[in-house]
Amino acid sequence: MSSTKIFLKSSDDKTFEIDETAARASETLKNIIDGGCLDGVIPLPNVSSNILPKVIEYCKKHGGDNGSSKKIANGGVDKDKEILPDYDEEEDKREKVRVDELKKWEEEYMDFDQQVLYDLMLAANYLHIKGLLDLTVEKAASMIRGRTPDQIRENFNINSDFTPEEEEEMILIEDEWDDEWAFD
Amino acid sequence: MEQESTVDLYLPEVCIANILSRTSARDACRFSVVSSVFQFVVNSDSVWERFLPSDYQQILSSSVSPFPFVFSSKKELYFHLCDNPVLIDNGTKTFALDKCSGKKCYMIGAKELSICAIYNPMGWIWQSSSESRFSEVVESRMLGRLEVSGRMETQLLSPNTTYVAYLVIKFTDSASGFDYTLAKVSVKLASNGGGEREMRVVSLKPVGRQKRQLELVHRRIADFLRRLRPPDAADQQLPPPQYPQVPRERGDGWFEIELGEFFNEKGEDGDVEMSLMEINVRGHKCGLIIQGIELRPKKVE
Repeated sequence: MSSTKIFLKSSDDKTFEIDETAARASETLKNIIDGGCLDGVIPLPNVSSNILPKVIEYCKKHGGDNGSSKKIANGGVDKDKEILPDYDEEEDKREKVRVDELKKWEEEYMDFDQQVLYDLMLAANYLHIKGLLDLTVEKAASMIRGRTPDQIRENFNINSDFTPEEEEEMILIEDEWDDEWAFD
Repeated sequence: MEQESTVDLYLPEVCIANILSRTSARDACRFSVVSSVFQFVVNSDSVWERFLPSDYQQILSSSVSPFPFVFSSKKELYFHLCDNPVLIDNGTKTFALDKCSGKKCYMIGAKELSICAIYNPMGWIWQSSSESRFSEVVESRMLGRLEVSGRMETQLLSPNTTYVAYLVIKFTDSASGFDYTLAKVSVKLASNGGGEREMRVVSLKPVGRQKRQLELVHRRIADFLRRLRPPDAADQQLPPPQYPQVPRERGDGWFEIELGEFFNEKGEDGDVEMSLMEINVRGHKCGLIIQGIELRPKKVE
């Protein structure tokens, strides 16, 4: 596997270096590389220099090894394993250690504030890095499960854009929903 | 398009939809009042597609009659399936969704259950019923022993879910012989080697009869439990008498008796067997109508 260097330019004109194998964790970058459109530096107008290193860190960990993120997503279960003829327990144990190690790494990696979370989600969405998108979306979902609409507005920094009349209607809808579910 | 809609929130709709689809139907519905963007996203098919079981199309394709409705959205389909169980597998089962979790609920019709002495015309009689989900239900006539069991492939159920099984029944106005009927109920997974995981005693007493009778049942239970104890524990304190569960009203005109619960992890546990066996057989019992055995996810608070 070649380790050609690729250069990425952030929205604020800073250049970062990444191995080609790592860059392939991103569908978008992979298409640019495979399409032969590589012309020196790849500009990423939607990703700032705060976020790009974080993205590169993820790609380095997962680049050229798309399987590992998939295993995490499946809760560490690798269904293909059963049909491998040279399946043995030692290999299974090593795999388990690897998955545990990766989970721990992801936990530490994901330790940042909310602003970074949403910026990273946007970058993952833009660069089509499925594993990173799953991680960030799952974290965002875990932060809003079971919350009230008011808490959500606060969480996402949203002001309700309904008119006062609509707002009143919304409160009615909200109450109706509460009744609907409470009935169960 | 994405830029325009993110007035206050800079996350594009596709990301919000992605996040909301990982919450629950209940959360998503409540979040529709957050803002107009949320309202739009909450109603989108991409969110509700994820709340529906991944194989819902396959399940609906085994529906007995062609699915009678055209749905304008996945959300509409979701709520329809919560409130209107669909007859599947040649009319032997019904399929529905649990409203809060979107998990699968099934009812196995009486035709698919093993019922002791079912071929004895003196014991049971089949009859059509408009109040049932199935075309036919079975009513006991001069029944000796009451034994009912049913099987379900865990593979068909939602994974990572605790299910509770219920026997769905009803008594006719002239029902008799059930006042003192006690039964043990159990739920077994084939992967457990068929060992009993849980055993409880329930009463089949039709609800609403005199209190005096209930007290008698309780005394019998206490006797039964005393006999169950190993002899060397004879001088230990008896636990306070446990009141057996009686049939509970469902709200659809039927009653249910809980048979037990089990955790379905990946659907790799083979069949789950649910049963109810009478333990103090005496006299004839008539007027019990069995609709089926229902499997629903356990409510989580």
